[in-house]
Amino acid sequence: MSLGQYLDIFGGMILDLLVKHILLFLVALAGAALAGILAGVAVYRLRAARFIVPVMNVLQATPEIVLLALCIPFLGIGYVGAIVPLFIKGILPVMQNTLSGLRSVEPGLKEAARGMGMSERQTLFRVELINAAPVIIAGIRVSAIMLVSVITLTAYIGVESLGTLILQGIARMDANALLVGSGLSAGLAIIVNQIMILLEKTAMRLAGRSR
Amino acid sequence: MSETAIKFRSVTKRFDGTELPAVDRLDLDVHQGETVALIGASGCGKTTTLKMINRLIDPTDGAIMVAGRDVRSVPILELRRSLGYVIQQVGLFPHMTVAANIAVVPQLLGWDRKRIAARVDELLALVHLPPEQYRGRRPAELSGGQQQRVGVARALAADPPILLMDEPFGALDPITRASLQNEVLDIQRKLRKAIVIVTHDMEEAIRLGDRIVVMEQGRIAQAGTPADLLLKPATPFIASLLGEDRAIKLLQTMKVASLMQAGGEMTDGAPGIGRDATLHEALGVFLSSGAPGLTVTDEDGKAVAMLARDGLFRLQSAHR
Ligand SMILES: Nc1ncnc2c1ncn2[C@@H]1O[C@H](COP(=O)(O)OP(=O)(O)OP(=O)(O)O)[C@@H](O)[C@H]1O
Ligand SMILES: [Mg+2]
Repeated sequence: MSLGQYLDIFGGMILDLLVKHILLFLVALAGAALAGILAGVAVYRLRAARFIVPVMNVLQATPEIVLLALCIPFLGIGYVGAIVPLFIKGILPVMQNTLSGLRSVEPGLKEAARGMGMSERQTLFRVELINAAPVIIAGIRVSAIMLVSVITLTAYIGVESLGTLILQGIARMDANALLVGSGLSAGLAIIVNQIMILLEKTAMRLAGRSR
Repeated sequence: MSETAIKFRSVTKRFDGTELPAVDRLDLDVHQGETVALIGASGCGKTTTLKMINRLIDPTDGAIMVAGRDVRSVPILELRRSLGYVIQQVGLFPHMTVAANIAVVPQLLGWDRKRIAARVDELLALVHLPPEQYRGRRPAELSGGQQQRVGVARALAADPPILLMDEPFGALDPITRASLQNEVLDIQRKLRKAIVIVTHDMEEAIRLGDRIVVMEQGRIAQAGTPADLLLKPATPFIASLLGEDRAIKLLQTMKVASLMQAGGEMTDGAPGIGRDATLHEALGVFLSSGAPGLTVTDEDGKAVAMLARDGLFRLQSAHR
């Protein structure tokens, strides 16, 4: 079967898998970004939250596939079992960048904010987070690129994504399925990267770092 | 003297894990309408002293009163919003426009938009930045001197009676620096704030300070008017800060009026000098004319007194 014929016959299914892949990605990324920023802010502001860092480091060192497997007994197979471990893997880069972004905000800005009578919370929202935004978004980009490809692995636990095509390709020695599955995954990663770079630049401009 | 704006009562600050106190039993009064310049070697405790006023640092011992109230008894955010603060590194918010930077404290105080916008324009005009041209710019689009001006405008935004400035013009070239110093003098003449300004630069302290406080290892080594210090530096260190040419600097700080002799003998054809001119300017006239005496004139150009050359040379020894 030629690639053209393959696309003709399976086009609908491919599109369906692509949409599922993107949805899965968006949910995992949104969760990871939110949790990562919250964790980063918590570690930055609260001494008691410091324990999060070593915990996240251990989780990050765990291979995705192991994490997926470990979650099966607790979360079963299916969407929840797929999204939770991915989301966990996505947190660390965001958290790390949030932390280093906040820590690298010029001390002069923090002092000006405090000295003029902003509360801790006003300082965080009006000065620190905005000035750390480019670094935070760079962390989200790292997460996004990782997640968009790692999501293919969820096919192993029966969740449909572009990974399903790759698994089929391997099982049936089907070059077309392999090509389409991996090609689309790679394409997605490139697009996601470009979008995030654009966002980063916008954030830089908003933070007044360039004109 | 008028009302005391800031009072330090035996204030000591000992940072954790340090041997010597950064500020050691400091007593100081700053009056409303007065500019006090804090000067001294790096690490002598100038910034610490300043930051204890707005409680960015809390003293280990002693008390600080602002407008008669112990700073610890005022809610901290309220205290800070009531004090103008220009920090050492300017600290303009890069993500905000010039207008938004100036508006920070008024906004925190809940002023309405119209009032804030009007105030921003008024302040930009005060620091000689045409509002139409500058209010919408980002700090990155300003020169260093313009940023400092915005820093000063921002500190003045809510019209605080007290202005705290930590080396506000430290990073500027001498020309920009001098013009900003003039603006501060101008603003001070109009607004009569109590200003505490930290500086490394004795010329700046002499120009801006009604009084100069020299600090050494957390203590006041000498406090007095520029003329007090220039006439009688208390230690060799202070003398070295003032420079070998301190006699000349003294002449810069004194007016002809302070040394002229009313009813002194008028010599015909003696060169004239205004009574508001500095003795330094008078010295220039003496040097270029070779005359032993000058005719001192008032605002209308009428001769009112005379200034003897010998008086200038006796100035130092008279106070020794
Ligand atoms: N947060 C801190 N913790 C410990 N020591 C500090 C702290 N801040 C200042 N010090 C010490 O206190 C002393 C006074 O510091 P301060 O910043 O007041 O000096 P300064 O006179 O403003 O110096 P400079 O002219 O260099 O700005 C210094 O010895 C400094 O090392
Ligand atoms: Mg300092």
